[in-house]
Amino acid sequence: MHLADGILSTPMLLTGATLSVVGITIGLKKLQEERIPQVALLTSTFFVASLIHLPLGPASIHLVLNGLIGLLLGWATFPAILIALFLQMMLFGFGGLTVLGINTFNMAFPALLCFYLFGPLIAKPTQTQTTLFCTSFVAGALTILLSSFLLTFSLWASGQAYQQLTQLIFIAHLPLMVTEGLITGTIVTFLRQVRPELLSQLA
Amino acid sequence: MPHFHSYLPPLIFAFSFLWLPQAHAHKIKLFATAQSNLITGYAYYPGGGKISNTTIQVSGPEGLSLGETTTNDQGEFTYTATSRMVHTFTLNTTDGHFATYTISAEELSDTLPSPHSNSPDKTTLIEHTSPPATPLSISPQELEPLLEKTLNRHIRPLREQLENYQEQIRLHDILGGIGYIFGIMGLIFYWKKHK
Repeated sequence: MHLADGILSTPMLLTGATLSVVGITIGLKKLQEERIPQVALLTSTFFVASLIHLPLGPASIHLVLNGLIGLLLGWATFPAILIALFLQMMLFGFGGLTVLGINTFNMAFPALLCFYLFGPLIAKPTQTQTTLFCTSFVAGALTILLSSFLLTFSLWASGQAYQQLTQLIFIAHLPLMVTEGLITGTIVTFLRQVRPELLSQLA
Repeated sequence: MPHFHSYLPPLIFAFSFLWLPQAHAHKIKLFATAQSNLITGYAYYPGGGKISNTTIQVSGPEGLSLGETTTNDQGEFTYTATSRMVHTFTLNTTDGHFATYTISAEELSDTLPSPHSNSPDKTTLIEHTSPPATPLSISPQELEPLLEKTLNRHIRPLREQLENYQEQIRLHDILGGIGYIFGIMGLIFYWKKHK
């Protein structure tokens, strides 16, 4: 999920950076003071989740959890993911400085879409545990699908062969979609039991 | 039926920790050493897994293309240098991962021609010096590759260990990162209060 330096073309890098700056500005503007600790907590979750590896598929992949973060944070996903990616770059050497913008966008934008698509559904207090689990499963899995689509697109727009990419990226991310769906579903249903007010604010 | 969700989180967390020491596929790496004019190395995911059957581009100084080589099933590759200059190995797996490794000119045998000057052939220099009067009477020309081979064999594991050590993710990095995140949280609080 983390693109490395030196692969993408300059227009692609600039587009990614500009879109991320827009997202981060809106995210910071909309950020309410009482939600800052929650944003920090989920930023740490994202920061650490990338260290958890799943030995599935051809190249081992790691958790991203952007679906969960998007559902709970909305626009604040942009600053959260930027900070986590920056620290991952500094401390672990993942990704790179020039690709920070596009990496942020690729992971935060699908998360934001899922917030608008599934947030209102998840906020409904009338949902049963099972439908809640299924909705958040789809949200988690769809975010990964959209992220891997954006990843493919950014590589394709920089001149990589499309067919090869689809094979490499989509197939490698299929097991991750299922895993992230399960984790998102589990955490959301768990939150509804222990902190239902976190979910009802999503409406 | 009891809520199966209630025991899923502990299960998932248990499994996550089983996976923690696994390979890090955030990046790929190359490793290579040179012995005489033969460069051998391998492509791998730090922490585990070799990258097999992939093409590695070889380039000289200033991006001059020298050709390419392919990794075998074990992710190993070899390249025979024809000139004593910087060799840069580049691997782009096309899924967004990218790695380079550089072998400096000094690591290659000095019997190879240098790309710029008309090689101040060291072998001829050696010939002028009188051979040391050792009881075994090995000429410097014979000794040099022998020494190089032995040294290379002993130094290579050390270099590999160094590379691996660099790749390890340490607990203090993780904790430091989380500390930074909460530090930034404090900054944003401060900033919002003073607006």
